[in-house]
Amino acid sequence: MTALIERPIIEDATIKLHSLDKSEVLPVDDNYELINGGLIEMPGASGKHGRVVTILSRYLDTHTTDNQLGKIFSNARVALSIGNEPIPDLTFVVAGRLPNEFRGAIPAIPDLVVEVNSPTDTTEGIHDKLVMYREAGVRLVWSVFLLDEYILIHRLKSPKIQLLNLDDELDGEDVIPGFKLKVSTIFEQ
Amino acid sequence: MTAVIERPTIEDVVAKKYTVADTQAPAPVGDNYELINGVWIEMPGQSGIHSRIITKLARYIDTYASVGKLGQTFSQGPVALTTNNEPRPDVSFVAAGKLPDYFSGPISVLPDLVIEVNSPSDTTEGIHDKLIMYREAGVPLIWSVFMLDKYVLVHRLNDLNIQLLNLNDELNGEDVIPGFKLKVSTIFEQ
Repeated sequence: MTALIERPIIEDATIKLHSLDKSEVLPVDDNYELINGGLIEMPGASGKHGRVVTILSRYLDTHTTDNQLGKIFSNARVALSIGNEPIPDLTFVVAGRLPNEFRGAIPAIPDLVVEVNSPTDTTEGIHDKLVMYREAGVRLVWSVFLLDEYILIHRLKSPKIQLLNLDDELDGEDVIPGFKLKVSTIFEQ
Repeated sequence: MTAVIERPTIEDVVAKKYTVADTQAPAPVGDNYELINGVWIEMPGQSGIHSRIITKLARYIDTYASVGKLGQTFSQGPVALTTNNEPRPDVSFVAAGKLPDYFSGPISVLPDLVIEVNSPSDTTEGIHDKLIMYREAGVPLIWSVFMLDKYVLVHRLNDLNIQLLNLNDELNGEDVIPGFKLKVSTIFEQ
């Protein structure tokens, strides 16, 4: 998802610290994530990337809306912690955890985050985001690998990572009860 | 493993045409280059942990394979895979009888096992491209080690499914290094 464009030195980060209540100081447009106090530009998404996000979003939103389980957001800024405002490809927040109206970034810890990794993402960049979500308390993270067509499942309650191949099924578990989707579905164009 | 330092234009590649045939002549500058899809790519410097993981894997595999005379283990040896591909896998294993006792230049036969320990700067695309390269060449077993998140992906030639091994799982030599087993956590212990 990300390419580091400029990591401020500690002093800069402390002084400027784009804290959660000052998101208006984020630069120029909405294409920047704040990760560990550093601003990171998101690369343009490929067509395949866009399709995977759209397909997943459609299935997730239909299920969670029909069953009144919560809200799905696409590419929305999340106010995770001081110094961390990622823009996950998809974010799910369980019903009742968000105010009816809010401005700016999502003001709650997501229950599920989906990241569709881009070809230019590094193993370190992917790792850093996972650690950030874990430390913030995100219960379930789906990390989608576009090129090799598999998904890694990270659960807050377990250090074990699970890999899903094309014939396996995504499962909402206790985060989105009843949600199941064959992995191959999201890679069909 | 790799970071592209300079991607020549198509014309450059055609004009220079670094192929395995040329590699008796050294790769550009030092020994730190891999030939991937016709382009010489500089391997990034390694972290201490990266180096430790390679050392341990090579030691366990070599000890096991030597005792049973099962084959030869190499650390970052150049492998003449195809005309346009001469990677330097972190560890490669060649089954007994395929290589002469003495040979010069790169490993000139298809490895039976290749291990890549992915660097923090490796991209998903770079990792993918190497996997495809090994698969297309016919490498039966590939272990792809993710040191930051401490898991290993196992890719088998005859199976499209990828297997993930966590710390408590065991690496298995399968039919490539029969009987070889190693708990994943072992390679991450310093």
